[in-house]
Amino acid sequence: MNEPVQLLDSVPEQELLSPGLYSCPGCMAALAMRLVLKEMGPNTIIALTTGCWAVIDGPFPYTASKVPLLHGAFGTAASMARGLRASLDVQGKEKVQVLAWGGDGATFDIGMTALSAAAAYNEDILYVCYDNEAYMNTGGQRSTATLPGVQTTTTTESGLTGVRKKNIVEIMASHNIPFAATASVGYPHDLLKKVQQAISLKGFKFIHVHTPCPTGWRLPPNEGIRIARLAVRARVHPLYHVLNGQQYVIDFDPETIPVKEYFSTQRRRLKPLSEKEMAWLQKDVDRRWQMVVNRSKEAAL
Amino acid sequence: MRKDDEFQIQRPRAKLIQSQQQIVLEKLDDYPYKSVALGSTRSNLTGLWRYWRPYYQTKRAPCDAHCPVGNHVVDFIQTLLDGHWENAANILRAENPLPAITGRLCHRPCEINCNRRQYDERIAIHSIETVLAEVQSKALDFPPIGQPRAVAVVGSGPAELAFAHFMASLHHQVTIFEAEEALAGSLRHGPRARHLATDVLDAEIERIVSGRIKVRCNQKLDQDVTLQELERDYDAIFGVVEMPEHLSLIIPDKGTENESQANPLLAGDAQNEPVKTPLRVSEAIGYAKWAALLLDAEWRGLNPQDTLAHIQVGGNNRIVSAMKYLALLKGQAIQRSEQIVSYDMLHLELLDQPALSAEPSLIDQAQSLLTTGFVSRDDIQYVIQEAGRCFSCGRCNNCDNCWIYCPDAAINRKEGHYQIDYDYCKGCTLCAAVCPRGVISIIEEEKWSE
Amino acid sequence: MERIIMNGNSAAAYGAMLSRVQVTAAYPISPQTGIVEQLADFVASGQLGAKFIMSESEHSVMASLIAASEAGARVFTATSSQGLALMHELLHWAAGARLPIVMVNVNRAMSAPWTMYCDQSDIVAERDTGWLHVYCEENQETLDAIIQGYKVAEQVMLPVLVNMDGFYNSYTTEPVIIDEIEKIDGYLPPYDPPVKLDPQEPHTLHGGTGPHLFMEMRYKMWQAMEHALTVAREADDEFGRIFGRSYGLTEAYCCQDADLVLVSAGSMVGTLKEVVDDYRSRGEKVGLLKIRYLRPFPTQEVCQALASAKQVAVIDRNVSVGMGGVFWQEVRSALYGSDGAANKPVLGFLAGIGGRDVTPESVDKIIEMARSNPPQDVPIWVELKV
Repeated sequence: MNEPVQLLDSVPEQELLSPGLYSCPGCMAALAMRLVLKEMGPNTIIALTTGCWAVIDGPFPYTASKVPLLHGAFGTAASMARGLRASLDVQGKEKVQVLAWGGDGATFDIGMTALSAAAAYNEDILYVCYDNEAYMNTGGQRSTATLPGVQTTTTTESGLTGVRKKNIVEIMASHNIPFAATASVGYPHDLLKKVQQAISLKGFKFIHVHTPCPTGWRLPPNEGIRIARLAVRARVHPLYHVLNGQQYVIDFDPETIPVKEYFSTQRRRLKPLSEKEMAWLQKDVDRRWQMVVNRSKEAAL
Repeated sequence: MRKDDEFQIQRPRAKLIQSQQQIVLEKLDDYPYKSVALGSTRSNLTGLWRYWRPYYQTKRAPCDAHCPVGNHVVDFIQTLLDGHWENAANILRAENPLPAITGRLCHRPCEINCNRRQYDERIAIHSIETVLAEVQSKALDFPPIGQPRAVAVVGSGPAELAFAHFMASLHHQVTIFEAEEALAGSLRHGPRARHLATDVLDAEIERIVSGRIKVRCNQKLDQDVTLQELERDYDAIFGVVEMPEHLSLIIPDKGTENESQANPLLAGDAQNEPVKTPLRVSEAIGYAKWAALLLDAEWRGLNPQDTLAHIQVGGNNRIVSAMKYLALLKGQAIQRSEQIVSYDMLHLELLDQPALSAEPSLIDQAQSLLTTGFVSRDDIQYVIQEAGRCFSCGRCNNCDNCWIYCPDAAINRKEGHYQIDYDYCKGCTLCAAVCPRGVISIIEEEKWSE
Repeated sequence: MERIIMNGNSAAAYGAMLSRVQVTAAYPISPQTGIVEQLADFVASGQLGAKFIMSESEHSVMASLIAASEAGARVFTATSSQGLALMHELLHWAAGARLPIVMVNVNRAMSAPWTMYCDQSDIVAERDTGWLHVYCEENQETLDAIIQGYKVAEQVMLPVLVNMDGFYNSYTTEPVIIDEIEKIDGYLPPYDPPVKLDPQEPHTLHGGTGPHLFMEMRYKMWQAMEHALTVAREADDEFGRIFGRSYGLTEAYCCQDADLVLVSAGSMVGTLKEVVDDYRSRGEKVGLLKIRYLRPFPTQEVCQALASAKQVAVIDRNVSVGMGGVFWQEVRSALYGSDGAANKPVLGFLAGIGGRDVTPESVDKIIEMARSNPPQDVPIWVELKV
């Protein structure tokens, strides 16, 4: 089994979040931030846009963050990050790292234009999108990161709806940025390795972290990691990265499970689907994975 | 409208307030001019949300639970992996006086029940035991007894040697009466003897008897020494004495108590009944240890039933632990649960296990600690590799998973110990779900069960 | 000191350059594009040591500048109508975040119908955002307003919107004085905020604020805006002492004995001054009140200037559909309850909407209409073709 090797002692010691977070018990988005900050270290400024994390950090006058954190209006993570970068650079603080942090709603939807511009201009920032596959902070409405067939408060009609999940890493790769990657809280060492790789590069780096939401996905609070790992194994969220928009590297190629099995313990999340509909879902997942596999075999141009 | 000269833009404090107190803003000047945070979320006691309370509890691995000798297998394996070979050897010899022998001859119920067997291959515990048997070690230091007894052991098979060893460790005067010229009985001549080199056997026996046990060879029962003589001169007699092919423990009635109290050992079904031989080596040692520890408990004025409850292993009343007995005698609390860790408690369908490669420095270190030349460098390397495959069932070995996966930074890690901060733990129990050792247990928070 | 012929856009760019702005983000929109291009030139040539963010939308422009300002840099941008509207939510944000951003708005009518021409409707929605509003008559004033803007903004920690009329100012060339930047440095020190984003001293900014705290935070902002009246006056006085040019929060022109006072803001004031001179030369007592600061509203100066007027005619180049011109509403509010207000008709005229020229003849018509005692409760549309 080609499992990524867990290296003990490779997770940095320093906690850059105080306890007392306002997240739900078992929140994977909280875990994602905790891990990413550990790897980035204290010389970081976070540009945080509206979403679950805007609440998790705590209300004014409290904060959980031990690094500078700027809350901003919805969809402005990337544009704020550009502003931070320019401001820091003009003051000679080029070494200060800028972390843009947004959910799937903020990244795939309302902040798409800003994201695209920041990537196109290759700003020296790291953008991390934590993906719980819906607008969770406002109660779980669908986003363009929602998988077809998943129940949300705005997809209550039966069967598959016409919209597929946007492939955000592909969109980012097509901007030819130095580094675009998927990651999962279920594989923290892979996530940390990717953060480390990203911050060693100059230019725009993008990491799409899968963060299952126990509250929103109607799971018990201790299920987040298991579901995250199953998602990777079912290739719903495969682990790979793209260098310079061209070189595809598969980070983990596990024994796969069918999408049906992935959803089997998420009964309250998946709508009742017919065989044909489930087969369509499976085919869509297979198609995306096959594209990644094919590209990983192409030699770098 | 305030007067203009009262207007000012103030710098807020440079550092956040880190206490658990709420921030109270009373005067207008207390408010910062813009919404900048003044305190940390430590004031948000999310521990109050908790329904399920996770806690660390060391449990019993199946290898330990099935070892008739009462070995703490996981303890010595993990201690060895930490590089503390001598401590590992201490743990081994604390429970098992004949590891060089059991390593080679035991029927290995530990391996049969090893959880790793359900994952890929069992771990070669016997090899680890064999190598560890050759590392220098210190004996358990039991507290002295006010009135040491005289103990006679008839014969010197594994059971007799084990009984003699434990009685001597507990500061009693032990004499072995052996019919043959040399000690070891069936281990030297019997069917299993061909698996045991003579010098290994001699070295092991030497360790047990040298300087602490009187040995009288060429002493056949009923020829050179009689049972009546032994009953007259000794407070306890152990061996094949009463019935042929049966081990018994005889406590002679010294005429002070009545018959019914003369030979009490245990109430209930664990009576002082002779045990049929031949026993398998580990079972022999296990029985002898059980008898020795409980007899000593009686002599120290402890209730044997209570003592057994404290020192048994894995919920089995026939398997006892010398280290637990020591803790009991010293009045120390025993922090371990005897709940046996089953395979599903390891969450291995979720987690993966690292493969350990034997570092050369570890091998060198081990080699320098050997007291004999019975094991080679290759043996040591093999043993380290096998030990690295141990799942450490029920015993935390600092894999860091709980600390890594806690979404609330509510687990503190300090010098190899983990502490859950119950002021903030929300009871999501992810730590328990990702623990590959089955160490984290969950209980309902008290306030909800009222 | 140089005297250069330049249009309003260039003057704005010079204003930013002389203020030593450190970060600018911009998106081109007619009739502001000249500002973006001139700034890009300044940065490319090294005359301005700033970082220039090429944003993809005005919303991102303001988001970037908010962040850049929070991190401790002096920031600048320029926009017009649709662009201004696109960043609307962030204007509220910037003011609530107490950031001293200076932005030039080149007044342009709001679509639909789609247009590029000048009127001041674009500020109708922005008046209430918490920004200071300055209205410039000429290009020199625009350049000076930017420099003064930073001076004021960085003392009260509120952003400043400097308005100039599209085409009438932005693409009209006039001679403009460029003072030595060292002299300007003496007036405008480097930006040193009390709070900024820096890992050396970490701060979290703008977490969710509950009802138990929000009013007080808003009240502090209110106080700052009140205080801004004093700060603006002082900044303008000091500017006058150093550079010989000052403008006041308002400019009362021939108001003392005027029967009719015309009130307006922006480039139209230039035309109105000529008309007033003309009427005065014929002995007619007409005056002009130029309003320079819309926010904070200089109630005191306005009431003073209009104290002796028998009639007030506010000429708005904007309309809040359903109520009337913004300056008319503000002046009426300011006068309400003051001495003699009950007998002083305050008329509202809507002229030049959508870029229609307001000529001296247009003003003649206004004065004629004013003298004919028209209704006081509805705005009067000037030179409608129907």
